[in-house]
Amino acid sequence: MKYFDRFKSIFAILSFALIVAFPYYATIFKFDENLVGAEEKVELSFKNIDDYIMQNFPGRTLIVNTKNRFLYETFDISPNSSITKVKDNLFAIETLNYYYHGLYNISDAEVRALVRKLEKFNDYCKKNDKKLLIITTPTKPRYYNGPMPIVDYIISNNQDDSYDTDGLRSYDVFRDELKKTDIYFFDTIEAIDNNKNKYLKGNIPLFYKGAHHWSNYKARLVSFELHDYMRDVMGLKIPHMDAVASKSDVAMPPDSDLFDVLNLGIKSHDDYYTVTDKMLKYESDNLNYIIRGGSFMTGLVLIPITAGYNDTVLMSNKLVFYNNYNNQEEFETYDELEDRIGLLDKIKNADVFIFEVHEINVYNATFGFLDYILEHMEEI
Amino acid sequence: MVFSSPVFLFLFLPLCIITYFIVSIFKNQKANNICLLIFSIMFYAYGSFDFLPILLISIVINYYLSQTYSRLRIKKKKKLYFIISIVFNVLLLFVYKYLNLFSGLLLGVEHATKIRLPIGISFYTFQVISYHIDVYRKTVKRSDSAIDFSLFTMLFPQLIAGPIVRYSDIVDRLKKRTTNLDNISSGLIRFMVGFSKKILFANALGNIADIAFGNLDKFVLGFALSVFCIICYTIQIYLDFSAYSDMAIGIGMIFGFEFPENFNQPFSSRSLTEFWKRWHITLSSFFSDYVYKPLGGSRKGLFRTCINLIIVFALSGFWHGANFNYLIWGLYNGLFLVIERVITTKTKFRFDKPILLIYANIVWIIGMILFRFDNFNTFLLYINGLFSAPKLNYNTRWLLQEIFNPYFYACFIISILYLTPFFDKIYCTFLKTRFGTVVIYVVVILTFVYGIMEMLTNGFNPFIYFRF
Repeated sequence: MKYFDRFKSIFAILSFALIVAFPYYATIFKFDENLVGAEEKVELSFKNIDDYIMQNFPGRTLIVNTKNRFLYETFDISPNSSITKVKDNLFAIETLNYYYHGLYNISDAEVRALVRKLEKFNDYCKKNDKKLLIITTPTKPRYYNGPMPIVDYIISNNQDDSYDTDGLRSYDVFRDELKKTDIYFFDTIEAIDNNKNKYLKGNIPLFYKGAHHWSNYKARLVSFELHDYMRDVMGLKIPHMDAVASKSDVAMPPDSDLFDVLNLGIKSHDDYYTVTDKMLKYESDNLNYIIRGGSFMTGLVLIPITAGYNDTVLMSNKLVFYNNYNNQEEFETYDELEDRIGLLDKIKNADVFIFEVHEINVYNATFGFLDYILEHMEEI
Repeated sequence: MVFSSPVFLFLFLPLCIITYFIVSIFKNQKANNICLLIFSIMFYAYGSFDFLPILLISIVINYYLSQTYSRLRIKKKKKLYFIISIVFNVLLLFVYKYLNLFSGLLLGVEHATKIRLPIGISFYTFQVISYHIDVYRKTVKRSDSAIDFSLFTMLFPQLIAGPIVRYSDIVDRLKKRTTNLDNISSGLIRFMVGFSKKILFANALGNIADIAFGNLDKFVLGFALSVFCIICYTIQIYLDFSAYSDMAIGIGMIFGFEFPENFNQPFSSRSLTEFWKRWHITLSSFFSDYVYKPLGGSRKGLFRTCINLIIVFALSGFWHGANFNYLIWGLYNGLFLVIERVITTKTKFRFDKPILLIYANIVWIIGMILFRFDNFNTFLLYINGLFSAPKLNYNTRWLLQEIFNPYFYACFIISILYLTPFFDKIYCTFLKTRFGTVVIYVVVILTFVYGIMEMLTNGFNPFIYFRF
C-alpha cells in the first residue's frame, strides 16, 4: 500500500501540474484558431487583466470547441444561450420568442402609422418619377413543423395576458395594410406559401437546420420571382438570371451561420449546396437604386441587378455599399452617411427605392431610414 | 484574486507552490513564512490594491496593541489596551461596512457616505478579534513574531472568505510545519473538488436564481417556479461557500496548514439549532465563544438563554451584510432557535426524528428568501409571485431554457447529492480499494478539467461570500 500511496500522490500532483501547464504547451503547439462570433478583444490594462487573460488564453479555441461539443453531443443542447436546439434544428431564440410569444410585436395603430408614412413617401416618389418597393422576408420558425419546444409550450400555457394580441403578428397587419395601398409590395412569405412544392420541398431546404437565414439556393429562387415582379408589375428593365446548385462539403455563408456560432470545431451535418449564378440575358434601364434592409436581403440577389450606377446605395444593417459597390463601410447614423457620401444627393438622384422588411423587424422597419427621408423632404 | 480565475489557477498558484518548495529546501521556517506572506500580499493586492494599506495598517496596529497589553502587569491598563484593541477592530468594521447604512438612515440616502467595502474585512477583523480575546484570556500565547502575526491575519487561502481561523488553530503550524507528498496530493484533490463544485454546480444553480430574481419585474413566476428558484439559490449559497472552504482548506494542506472545517452536511440537520452547528461552523463557534458564552450562554435560565440567542443571531445576521434584511434573517433564525430551545426545555420532545429534516430544511429555505432580497420592492415582487398564478412571456424564456435542459438536470441532481452524505460515503467506500481510489482520482481530475473549460468560457466567477 505504501507504494500505491506514493503512486496516487504523484499521479494527483502530476495531473494537476499537467493541467495548469496547459497554456504553456498550447502556446508551443499553437492550438488556437479564431472563434466565430468571439467578443471584441480588450486592451491590456491594470483593471481588466482577468478579461484580457480570458480572451487571450492560449488554447482557448480548443477548450471552447471541446466544451461546446461535449454539451452539444452528450446533452443534445446548444452551448450558446442565444441559440436553441429543437430536435436537429437550431433557432435564434428571438425568432422563437417572436413567433410564439409576440416579441417585437407593436400595436396595430403603430403599424398603420408606419404604412401611412410609407404612403407619404410613395406620394413623393410618384410626384418625382421614382418608384418605391417594399419586400417582406420570412423567419425560420414559420416553417418549423415539429412539436412546440417545451419552453414555448410552458410559456404559452401560462402566458401573461398583457402580451397577448388579437392573434395577429405585426407582420400580418403590415401586409394587410400595405395591400390596401398602391405601394409596390412583394411578399416573399406569400410567394413561398403559393408555391410550397417549389420552396419547401426537394433536397435543398428553405432554411437549413443549422442556419438562421434562408438558404442561398431557395432565397435565389424567391429572388427570381421578385425580379419578375419588378419587371412585370413595376416595369423595370433588369437582368434575367438563373442559379445552379451543386452538392458541396462546405456550407456557403449563411447556410450554417447558427451552427458555426456554436464553435463546435466540426462541420454541420446538413447536405450543403453551392450556388452558381448565371446571367441569362442582360437588360437595364440605367437606374439608380437606394436599398435599405437587413441581413435577409443578402439572399435576394439585388446587387447584380442594381450594380453599374454610381449613385446606387445599398444599406444592410450597419453596412453601406456605394460607389457601384466598390466601397463597403460601417455606419452608425444617416447624418454620418450624409457627411461621408452625400446621402441626400443620392436620395435625390435615386430612381427606385427598395425597403426590405424582415417580418420580425416590422417594429423597426427601414431602421429609421424612412423617418430620415421624411425629415429631409424639403432638401430632396 | 478569485480562486476560480485563470490568473490564480495558471499563474499565481503554480508560482506560489514552486517558490514555496524551492524556499523549503533551506529548511528555514521563517523564510517559508515570509514567502507565503509575500504571496498573500500579492494575492490581496491583485484586485484590491486600494484596500491593501487598510489591511496592513490594521495588522501593524493590532500587533502593537497585542504586544502592549499582553506585557502589561497592571490589570486596569491591560484591560484598557485590550478594550482599545477590540474597539479598534469593531470600529474598522463599522466604518467600512456599516457607516454607509447608518449615515443613510441619519442623513438621508443622498448625503450618505459612499465607502467601498474592503474585501475580506468581515473575516480578517473577526480573526484578529478572536486573537485578542484569546491572548487576553491567556488561552493562547501572544505572537512575538510580526511575520507570524501578519501571516495569521492575511494567509491568502482564508483571507477573504474564511474559514475564520483562530490563532490557536495554526500557531503550531506557523512555528513548525512539514508537508509531504500525501499532504500535497490530498490538498490538490480537495482544491479540485471545491473548484468543480463552485464552477460547475454552484454557478449553474446560481444562474437560475440570478436570472429569475433579476427580472422579477418582467414576469410573475408563480408558486412552483418561485419555490424552485429559491431552492436553487439556497443550494448555490451552500455549494459556493463550501466550495471556497474546500479550496481554502486544500491550499492550506499543500503548505502544511490544517484549517478548521466550515461545513458538516448542514442539510442533514433535524432542527435549526443543529443546522447552525453544521453551517459556517467557524463563524458559529466565534459567536458562541466570544458573544454567547460571555453573555451567560445557557447558564442563566431559559429566558436569559433565549435573549442571548436572539442577540447572537441578530449580530450574526448583521455580520453578513449592512442591510436590514440580514438583520431580519438573523432574528428569524434566532427565533426558531428560541422556539426549539423552549420546546426541548419545557417538553420531552426532541428534534431527532428523521422526518424533522424536512422541517429544518424548509425553515432554512424560507430564511433564504430574507437573505436573498436586500431590496424591499424586489422582495415584494417575489412574494407576489409566490402567491400568484404564473404570468410568463418571452422574458421568461431565458430562465426556462436554462432550467429545462438535460445538462441542468444533471447539475441539479448532483447538487442535491452534495447536500446529502452521498459523496462522502462514495469517497470513503472507493478509497478502501486501489481501483476505487484510482477511479475517484480520475473522476475528480476530469471534473476539474471540465470545470476549467467552463471557467474559461463563462468569464468571471466571484464567490458570493466575498461580499460579506
